[in-house]
Amino acid sequence: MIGRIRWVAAIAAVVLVAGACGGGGEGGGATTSPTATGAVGQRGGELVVGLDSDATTLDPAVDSGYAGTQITAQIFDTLLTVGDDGQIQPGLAESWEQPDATTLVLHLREGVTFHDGTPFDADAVVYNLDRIRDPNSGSTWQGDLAPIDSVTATDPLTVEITLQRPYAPLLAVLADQPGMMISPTAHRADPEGFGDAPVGTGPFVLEERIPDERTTLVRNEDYWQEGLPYLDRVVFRPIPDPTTKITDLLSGAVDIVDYVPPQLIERVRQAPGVVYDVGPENYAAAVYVPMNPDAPPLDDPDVRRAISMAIDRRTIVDQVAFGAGVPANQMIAPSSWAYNPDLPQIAYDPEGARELLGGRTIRLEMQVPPTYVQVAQVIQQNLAAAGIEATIERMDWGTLIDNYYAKNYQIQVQDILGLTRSDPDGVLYGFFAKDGSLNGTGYTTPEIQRLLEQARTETDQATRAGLYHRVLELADAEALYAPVYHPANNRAWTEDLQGVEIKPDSVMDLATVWLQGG
Amino acid sequence: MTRYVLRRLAQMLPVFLLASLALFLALNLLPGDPARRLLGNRASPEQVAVVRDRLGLDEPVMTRYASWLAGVVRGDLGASFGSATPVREMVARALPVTLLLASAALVVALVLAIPAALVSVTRPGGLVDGLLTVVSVVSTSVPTFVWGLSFILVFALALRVLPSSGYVSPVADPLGAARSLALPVLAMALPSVGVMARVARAAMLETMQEPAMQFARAKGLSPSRLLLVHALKPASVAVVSVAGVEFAYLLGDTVVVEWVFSLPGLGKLLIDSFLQREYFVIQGVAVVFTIAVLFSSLATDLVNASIDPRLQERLVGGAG
Repeated sequence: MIGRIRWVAAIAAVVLVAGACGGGGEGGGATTSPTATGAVGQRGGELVVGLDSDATTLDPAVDSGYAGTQITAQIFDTLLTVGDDGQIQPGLAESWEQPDATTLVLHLREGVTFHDGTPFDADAVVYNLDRIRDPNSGSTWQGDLAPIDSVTATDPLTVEITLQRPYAPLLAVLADQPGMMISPTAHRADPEGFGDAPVGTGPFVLEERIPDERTTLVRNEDYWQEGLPYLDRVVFRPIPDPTTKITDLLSGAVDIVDYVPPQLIERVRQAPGVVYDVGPENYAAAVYVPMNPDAPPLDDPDVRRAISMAIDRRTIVDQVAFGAGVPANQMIAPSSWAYNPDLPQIAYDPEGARELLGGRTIRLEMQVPPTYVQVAQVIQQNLAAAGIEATIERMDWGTLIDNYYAKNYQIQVQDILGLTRSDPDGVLYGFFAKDGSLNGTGYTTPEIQRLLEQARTETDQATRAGLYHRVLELADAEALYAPVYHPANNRAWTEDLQGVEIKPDSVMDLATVWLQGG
Repeated sequence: MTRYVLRRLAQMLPVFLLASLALFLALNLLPGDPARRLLGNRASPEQVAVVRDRLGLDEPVMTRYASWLAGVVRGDLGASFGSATPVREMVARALPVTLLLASAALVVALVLAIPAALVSVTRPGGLVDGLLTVVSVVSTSVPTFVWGLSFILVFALALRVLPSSGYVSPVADPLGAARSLALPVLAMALPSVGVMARVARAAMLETMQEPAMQFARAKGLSPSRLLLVHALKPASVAVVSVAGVEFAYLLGDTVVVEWVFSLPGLGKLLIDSFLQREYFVIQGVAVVFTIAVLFSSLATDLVNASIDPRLQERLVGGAG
């Protein structure tokens, strides 16, 4: 499995390099296709995409959920983009510089227009970022842009962002939803209705949206990346029942599905005319067991370590996740540049766990959401083999999370899947800092806290990576979370569809795919 | 007759109030917080508290029910927590799909059941009668969703002649709509066919034994005329009654069928809203379902009264 993922990642890297060459920053009218082989894609055709749910809104200033991101990413371009290795790449800004730790200068691409004809320029960027920063906007991303002091247009194609304090994650933030640029003209005309009538600069233009039924996009004939997109139309259909979604794929009613649930992977693999592939894990994706250090006997680090050692991660990945993932040894995925490659894998060692407990009998309650009952059942057997009696308490996600923040648990099974942000600050500060948004107990050590804060202010990625590696090493010793596995992004599509890549942020890039023979 | 209808409408009011109150209370006992669903699993308790406050979820249950009811009186069913779309709009969009599904299924069931009953009545206990009994038992005992999934396997996956899911508006594309609704409608109709065929058969056999029929037979009327003209009409009272009940069941079946076939009707809206804990949407859909069932039972009685004048007298007489 690991070999396969590396292989896919290597292809993705080649594609990325080819794309960078083809796309060219000079605006020289490149016509080369951004595919690995250099083959030019075929124009035309309609693609039907099956999603798990419908977007709640198509306004990128509000978190529209996983499905919403799949659609908005086709309508809007971001100021910056992220390569599969987590490196920041040009987007609507073709270059940028950081003259000092609290200034970011963006140089915008020339000649880009929004779908409604409004020119994309520095004023549009100021409008967009100020809109999110406005306390009355209700934007989900206010916190992400909070360190910004001011955004000014210094000339029509240059924007200067000044910060109140050094804030390293900013570039990654501008490569995600907060960096999606909307047309100021369209938004001014109807701010409330924008979520149903989005206007961006992206490869596709909204044609029709019928909530819970379909969202239809058509080709942007004036897209700034010449020759792209290949498809004439894209139809997104929400299909909440996973079996129906996969049946639709196999029967040809949809051409691509965003995600194949584990129990249906075998069926998809064996289906003729359908391609199934596993991509890299999301930067921050992990299924893990949080352990409450305030709840005896988990106040003893040895008990926490014993639990982590007792978990048979390989079996969980193979039997429960049906191979769509890799065993985890830290709270960040191998696709992130902050991943610490020197941490050893956590060996499955029930005997070692038993020894660590020194003959004590441990009884625990394990709180489990519906998604992870099977994972919990394997863990329960694993713990029993190490002399730990765990009872499974099933509850809905809301109750589970409320218990987590109320410190009303011993151990739980949880996941983190929704963070697409490539910068590791979000997940690592979140899990390990005293005031981290994912740290339910607020437990940390002064050294971890100091390193996390320092990493926020450094702008050099190598320096930051070193700090995060140390954080992960110290966190490993504390064992507040037992990482179980990093679920991988998978995807399935009809074999007529070419050029599909699976990226670590799991967002589809439909500008570069094409239908063969259609 | 008008007075009868008005009285029936007045009787619906307490049923409606009771049903909506029971559902409102039940929803509040349900685990899962709408604010949490809205914000995602990663929101902090502080963020959840802010949203709960904004949505008015911390008010006492009865206060919230009263303000919801006051809205209903004004024709306002509330709005979705997530998208702020008025529930009335969401229901209005989904209702035609569900009504189309349930009515089409009822029509298909009747079209299949009546001829089957007629054939089996011509020779009770004969080969055809026996065969139809077996078929109707099978069609009734296999639940809708099994029919639906089997049809998908055969017609969508193996033969690839009909779509496995999705909805096409009959206004925009009548042929596409017929294709997209064929499998769900048939899946819903089949379990009703057996029930209605058996009821129609029993009612016609009974009618055939009546003295009037024996008299008609003695007068030398042909068996087919006897059956189609004299037996079918009185027997249809029983068929209409059972069709009214079946329609209510079919409305219930739409919940499963719309989910399996991804049709954007009330049933799918209901499940989607349950997953999101969209209390007002659930409440709104339930209200519409309740009203639809109440009206279908009223319509059944009125149709029957128009078929059989004896019933009309009884209805109006009962109304005073």
